[in-house]
Amino acid sequence: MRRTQRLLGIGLLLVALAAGACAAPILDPSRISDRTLDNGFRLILKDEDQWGLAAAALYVRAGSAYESEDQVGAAHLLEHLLFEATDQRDEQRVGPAIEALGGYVNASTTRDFTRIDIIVASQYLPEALEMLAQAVFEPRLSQAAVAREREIVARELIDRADTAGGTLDDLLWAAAFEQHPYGRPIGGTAEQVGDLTADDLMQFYARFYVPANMALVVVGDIEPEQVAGRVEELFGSAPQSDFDAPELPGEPALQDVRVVAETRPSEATIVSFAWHAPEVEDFDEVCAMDLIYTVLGEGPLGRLHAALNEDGLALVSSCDYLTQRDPGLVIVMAVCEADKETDVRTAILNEIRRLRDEPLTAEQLDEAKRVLRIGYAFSNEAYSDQAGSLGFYEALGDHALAIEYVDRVNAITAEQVQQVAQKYLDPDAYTLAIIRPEPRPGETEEARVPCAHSLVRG
Amino acid sequence: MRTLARAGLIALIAVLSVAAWSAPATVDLDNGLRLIAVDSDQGRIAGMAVVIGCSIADEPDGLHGARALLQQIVVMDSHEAISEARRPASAFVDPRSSGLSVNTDWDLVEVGFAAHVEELDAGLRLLASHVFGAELTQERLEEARELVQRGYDLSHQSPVQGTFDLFRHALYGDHPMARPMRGDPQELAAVELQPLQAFRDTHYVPANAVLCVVAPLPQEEIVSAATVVFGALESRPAPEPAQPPAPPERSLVEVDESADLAQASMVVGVPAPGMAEPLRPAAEVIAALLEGRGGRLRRDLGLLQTLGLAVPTRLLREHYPVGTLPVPISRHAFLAVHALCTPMNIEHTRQRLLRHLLALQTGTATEEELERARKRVINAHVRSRQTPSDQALYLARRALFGLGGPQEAIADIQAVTSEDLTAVATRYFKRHAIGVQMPATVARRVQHD
Repeated sequence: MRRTQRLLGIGLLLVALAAGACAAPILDPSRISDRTLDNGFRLILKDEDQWGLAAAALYVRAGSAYESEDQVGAAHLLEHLLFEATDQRDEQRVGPAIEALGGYVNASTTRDFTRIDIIVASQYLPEALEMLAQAVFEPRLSQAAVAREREIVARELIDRADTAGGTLDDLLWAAAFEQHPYGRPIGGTAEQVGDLTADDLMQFYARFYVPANMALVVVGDIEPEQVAGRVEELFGSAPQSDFDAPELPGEPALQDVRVVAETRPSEATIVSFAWHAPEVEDFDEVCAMDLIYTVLGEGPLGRLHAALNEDGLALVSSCDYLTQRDPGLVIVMAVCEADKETDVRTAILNEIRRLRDEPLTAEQLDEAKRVLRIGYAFSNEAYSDQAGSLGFYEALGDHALAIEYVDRVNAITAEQVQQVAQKYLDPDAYTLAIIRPEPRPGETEEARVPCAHSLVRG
Repeated sequence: MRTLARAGLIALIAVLSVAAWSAPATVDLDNGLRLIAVDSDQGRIAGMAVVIGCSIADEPDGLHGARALLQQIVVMDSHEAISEARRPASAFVDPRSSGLSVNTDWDLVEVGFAAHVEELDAGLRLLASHVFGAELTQERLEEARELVQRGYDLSHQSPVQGTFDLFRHALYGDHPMARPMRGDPQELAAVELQPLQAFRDTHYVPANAVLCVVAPLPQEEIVSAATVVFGALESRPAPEPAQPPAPPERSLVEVDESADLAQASMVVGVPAPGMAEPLRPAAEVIAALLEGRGGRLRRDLGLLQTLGLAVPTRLLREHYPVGTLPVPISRHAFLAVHALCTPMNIEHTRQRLLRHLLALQTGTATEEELERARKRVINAHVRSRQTPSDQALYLARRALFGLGGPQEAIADIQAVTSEDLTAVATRYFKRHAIGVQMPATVARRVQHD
């Protein structure tokens, strides 16, 4: 295809480009292959032929949502133990070993999955994969190692709890999910982590770190068959074991407004609204919600910016929505001076009503799609970004969603956007978390925010 | 014989790479700009970079820090232009970008940008107009001056920066690389608008620059789009390269004190091959031999004890008190190590660090060490070109120094032998330089005693 294009005249190419640039895929499916090894391990490859670089991302559906009540914090602590050296002699673990050879390695835990990312020169991919396989199939969970890493993680959690953003996030998710484990903080609390034992971690590991619950994505300057052969040797030899993803409890729809608030030593108030949002299985709704958050919050183009920032009502505003396996949250956040809290809350709810009441015009819809499409192209700029997209959707259900994403967004109509707004964004039923500055001497809470209590219903 | 073997290896790697890498198109435009176009399949983003051969040696008295001021002006102007362009119905470029990305280095100034391929033309116009075009104003100069001066103050809050300045002064004497790369506050305060404009009009010209565009388009189309925008720029002669004085021939030590330091801070270093010199890859391998987990400096537990610091083991993972400084991307380079130590251990630390740097004059590296070091350097090169704009910068930068593309870079590193390391050590490490900053109270006490 590309070779044929090169034979055409430049003028003709410019015309072809104008017509075809939008349609060209961000993640070219002709370069992507996937397979399931006999033990259930999933492998997704995207081969390129330039730059001598390879990015690998291992996804394990072992996020914090899958912890039992007495394992809270296990997913994140386990990620630390698999990834890092637990003492000075243990330099062969994936973290220090990849770092020693000059590659990049990082690991993270979310509510739905844990991932380990590696970026190396293509020629060193085989040995990097060997280190990765060793990390996930040969855990070293001694009591001493667990005790050491527990301290480090507990310190991280205490530091996070000291930040306004961390507190607000935890308040919001906990209030929005009373049944579903998405309500728990991803790493647990320092106290919960302090209670975890090597046995707790081994139980969690044995349950979730099985080949059928893992997917490896490799994107880069690779020979797909060679990589597949190496992966078969390293990951295909792990024994197959039965795995059924646990059913997580559903979260009843909100019927009213839940408000949670805390005071902290700070100059500004932060308000954060949350509504339950589409799960990955309803992918058209996901795409429509992505258009909604784009219309609301995409920088200077967004309605929030126009309603809150341009008139000086808020200092900062944003809208965020992360697609999750189960229904997650769409979050609208604003930072404002304390005496403007009521006006900011009113303005945000007005924008929500507007989305429900008025369909987007064709021009607004096109602009939102264009912003989303360009943003998606930038978020898949590097090989590691592309491995992240493919792995993210594979961990949630199917990597093909990453490939289809732009087409699916382009197919959404203004009516669908409005329907999703009406279904999910109820201005009379939401969760609201607020961080307020500590009152000045002589000032009462009620005097500062007259409508705070009237909003709490039910 | 060894040269032949290396040539053979380079040729073999180059041949193996041919199938995977279609050579970039290189075109010299009428105004002297060298254009490199690469057809990339990576995604839908186009990366573009202009690298200008303007060196710190080109900054005359009264214009020290001129390149840093121009950098700040380009960043601010392009940020404003993008903010305007983000409005609906205007050209839309990079939703994450706050402006052109500009970096001022010893021997070059580089400007990078990324745009969706749909907006390649807009991106190219932005790059051309802000790097080569816009008029400077006094107001903008004052804003830039304040920000660059603030940046100087911030960077000098780090103990490494002050010690690094002392080290470079000891190594380079009157050579311009002894000066702060971005000027110091007094020098920046002295820069005036008209001379700055003249400086830019002389040095920031197409004939003194390389443009590289990496985009998911056929090369002919990239060349065509770039030629339309950059070919229209006024043709001006490339400036004569400045002839800086030679660095001193003796080993020197520069010592100062700092009230902000609780420990002594030391940089010990030696001259090293510059970018265009054949032994440059070997110098990068030597730096990698010393640095990081598994490197000689960390494996030397005696060195850690010599420093005399009481550092908890868990902190060593994140804050190791000895580190190698990057070998600069410049014609005159150095290899240097920074360490923190207790003031009373400064002499032992100096000896121990020097011993590591000079060891290769008489000793060799084991094959295992060499392989680890080569891997580190190759990974560093490869990781520095992950996005199309990084790739464009990488290629343009190498082209400015007359070097080949990514395949040649990797092949050159892969071909480095233990003998090459010894050649670097014997040819370049004939003298050394040391910069030391002592805690102020200790320095005074030593003086008193």
